Amino acid sequence: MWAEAYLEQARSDWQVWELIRQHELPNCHALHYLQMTCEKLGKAFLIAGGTISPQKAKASHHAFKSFLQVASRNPTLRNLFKMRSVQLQAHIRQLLPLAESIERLAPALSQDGPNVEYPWESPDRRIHTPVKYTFPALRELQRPAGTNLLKVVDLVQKEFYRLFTEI
Amino acid sequence: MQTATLKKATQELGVSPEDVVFYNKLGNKAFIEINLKLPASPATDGAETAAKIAENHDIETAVKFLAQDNFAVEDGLERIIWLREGAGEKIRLIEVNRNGFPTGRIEAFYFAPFAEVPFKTYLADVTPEEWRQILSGKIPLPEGWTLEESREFLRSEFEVTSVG
Repeated sequence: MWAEAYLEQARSDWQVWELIRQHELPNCHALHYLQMTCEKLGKAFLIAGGTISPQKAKASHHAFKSFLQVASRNPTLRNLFKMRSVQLQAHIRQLLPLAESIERLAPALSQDGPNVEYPWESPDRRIHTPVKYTFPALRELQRPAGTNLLKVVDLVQKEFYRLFTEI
Repeated sequence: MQTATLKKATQELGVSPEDVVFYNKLGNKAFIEINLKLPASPATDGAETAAKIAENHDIETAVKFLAQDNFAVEDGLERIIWLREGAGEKIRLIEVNRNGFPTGRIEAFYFAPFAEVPFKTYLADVTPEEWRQILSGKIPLPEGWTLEESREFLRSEFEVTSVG
């Protein structure tokens, strides 16, 4: 039940990400929803794995990256992508740095630096706000690795019940 | 963009210069980004083995298939531990991976049954240090998991060849 609940919320966050990115709003808002999509998807996968309780999963912020790390060992996913194992491994390795950058947009992982929610102070004592900050992750999302990462996020949501949960 | 360095880099990577979407050279380092393409034909990983496995659905054969496959996919894997006791018709694997992300706990991910391995599979990646901590009891096993009767597969036991 908890895994489905996290999936449901992740899918809704994803819809908001897709909606916001079409409008001329500060980029932090779209990135916030993408970061939350990945975080909740990761937790859904983690809970579906059965070894981590929902309470412990709640505190995990790296679950999506951990999921990606093992995803290339899933032959069904390989068939879905119509890729051979080594190809999918190379494909996913290409996505890991960006996946990590997106995870680090969460305030809890930003180490008092750039994040998509709260103002922060840089080492030169300047105060920054997410609404005015140019996030490097946004530029990366427009590159092929970014496009591929978004495809993976979209696909694993759609195939969640078939591939990644006992339900 | 068609510099001698780019040509050399694409040759070393075994990719076509047409697939290069970003290239930059800083000092003595070249950064190259390629656009991966889907293969023209469907994946054929282990097709022969899959057919054999599907015939008898033997769990041990399925685990060996997974081990062989995973060693081939992930070059950081040092060993795979199959936790058999109490797992019934499920496959529980701990994979010790030099390239893994340390989490300080065992986080398994579920893979649905598929043709080659018609069993529910739970796969957890741990780093070598985490594996030492599991063995010393510092990192507990999930409820219902036990190392009793477990079986270990080492990379050296398998003739690991690239299947990609």
